[in-house]
Amino acid sequence: MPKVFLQKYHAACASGTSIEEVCESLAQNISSLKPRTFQFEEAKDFFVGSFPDEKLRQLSFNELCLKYIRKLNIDFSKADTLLILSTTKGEILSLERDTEAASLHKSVLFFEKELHCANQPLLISNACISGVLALVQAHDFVKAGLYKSIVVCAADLISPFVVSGFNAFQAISPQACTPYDKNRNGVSLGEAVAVALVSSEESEIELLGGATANDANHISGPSRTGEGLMLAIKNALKQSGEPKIDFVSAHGTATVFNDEMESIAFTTLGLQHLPLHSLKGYFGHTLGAAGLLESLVCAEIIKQGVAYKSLGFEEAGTSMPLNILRENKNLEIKTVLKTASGFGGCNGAVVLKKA
Amino acid sequence: MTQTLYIQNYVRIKNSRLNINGSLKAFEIASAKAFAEQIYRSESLAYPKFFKMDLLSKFGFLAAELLLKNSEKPSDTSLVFANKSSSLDTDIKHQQSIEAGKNFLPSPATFVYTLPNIVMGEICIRHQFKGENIFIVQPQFSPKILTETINLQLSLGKATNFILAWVEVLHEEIDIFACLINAKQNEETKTFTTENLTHLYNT
Repeated sequence: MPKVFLQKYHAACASGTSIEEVCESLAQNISSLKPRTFQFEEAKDFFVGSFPDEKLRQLSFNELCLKYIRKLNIDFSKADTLLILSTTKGEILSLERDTEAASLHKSVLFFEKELHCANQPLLISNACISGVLALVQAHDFVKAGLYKSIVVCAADLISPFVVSGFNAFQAISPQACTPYDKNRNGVSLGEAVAVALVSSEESEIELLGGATANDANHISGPSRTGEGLMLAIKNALKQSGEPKIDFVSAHGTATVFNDEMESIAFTTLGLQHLPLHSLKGYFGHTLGAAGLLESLVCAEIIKQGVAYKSLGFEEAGTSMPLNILRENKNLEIKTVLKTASGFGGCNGAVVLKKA
Repeated sequence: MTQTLYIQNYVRIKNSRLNINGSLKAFEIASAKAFAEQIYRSESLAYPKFFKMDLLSKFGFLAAELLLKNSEKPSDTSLVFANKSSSLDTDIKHQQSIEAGKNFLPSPATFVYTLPNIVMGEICIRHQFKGENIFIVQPQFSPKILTETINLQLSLGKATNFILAWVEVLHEEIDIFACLINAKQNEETKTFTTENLTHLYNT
């Protein structure tokens, strides 16, 4: 079977409108989470990671994805080319006025038409592991020779729909979120788009493989034992040929239970000594985009040899101590493990390697 | 060379009809919710969590119950699910609860179901499945990519037992198709192909 590589990629989130801008902002340890007012029963401020660019903020989900997919300059009319979309809520902002437009299948039809796709786009909606799962699916398809080129596009926008829901769960941090910290108190939501071309053509970054696993425990809370995440990591490492991991880009949402669960899973697997960070303190939890956006940051970390510190982390706050980065660190990183976990008990993991 | 997979059995729920491996049962129903509860009762199920689920999870859960009645349930069973409207049926309910000026009262119990993969989470909890999950949204039932996904998971050694399901629920319209797939073969099994899936879906 051929090797699979990450080719060109682009991204935008609160930290910047290109991957270069995003990484520059991360290198300077700038939090791009800011208070934004939502008009619910009364006006309330939440720390969120919004796009820094007014023009981007005005785009719908479909328009935003299209803009970034077009940057890759791919001919989707070829029979061996596939678009994989990853999102939790897609065009949910339309729901207020047009139920049909908010339906995710409408986005599939939109991209199929706009991009003249030979193959109908594959839309994956699997909670907060969608981005990791989409990347793994692209890897597996290319590895098996089913498609030659796959573009993965992962995006989610900040919406009153999602903010009100997380708020009803009392899962939103009153300040900018602080993953793994003793005083962490919930997530900060963010918005993002990330696009990447995956193919068997050699490049600097190889995708080794990945897997998902379910906790089979609870639909809205992580497993206390971390079993699902452990299984996802174990299977991802097996799929990847059991490489030695140098760095972990964890999920780290900054809810009390998620970060605790991760610390147990990493420790049980003997990975607790590895340098690790969560990027949520920089640009928030970008839901269906998170897994891909954060994997692209991993690719940049491998290329540049600098791992960004875990912003917001001061005092250890999980029962199992992890090696969380307190400062940016020059590290020779060959292999990175990226993980994610989400509602529905789902967990995903993917491994990237310097080619 | 990839092993051949077979469709072990299937469940079809559409309009007010239930079809388990070709054996049909018609229900007289007042609503989709009542339909789900009738199936639950007629099968003498005892799983109180069922009553907390949204309609998508209720019907997905029932399809899995019927499918797995006499089957082994290996913990690495993989779930490959798809539908057209994602969780829109419940999204509408959450949206109504947050519209300004009306009765603002979003409920976490509703919000959690605004993700389509929750139905797989419910099934995993019930049967202790800890394998692969993927939820795909398609404009209509298109078995090609679902078949590719399952064959791929088999050839990469990710799973050997699969549930493929189409779980569409919107505005009281129910369209459910689920089948159990693995390598076992007997006189009743059909080869796992897109043609056979399409044929069963259209029954």
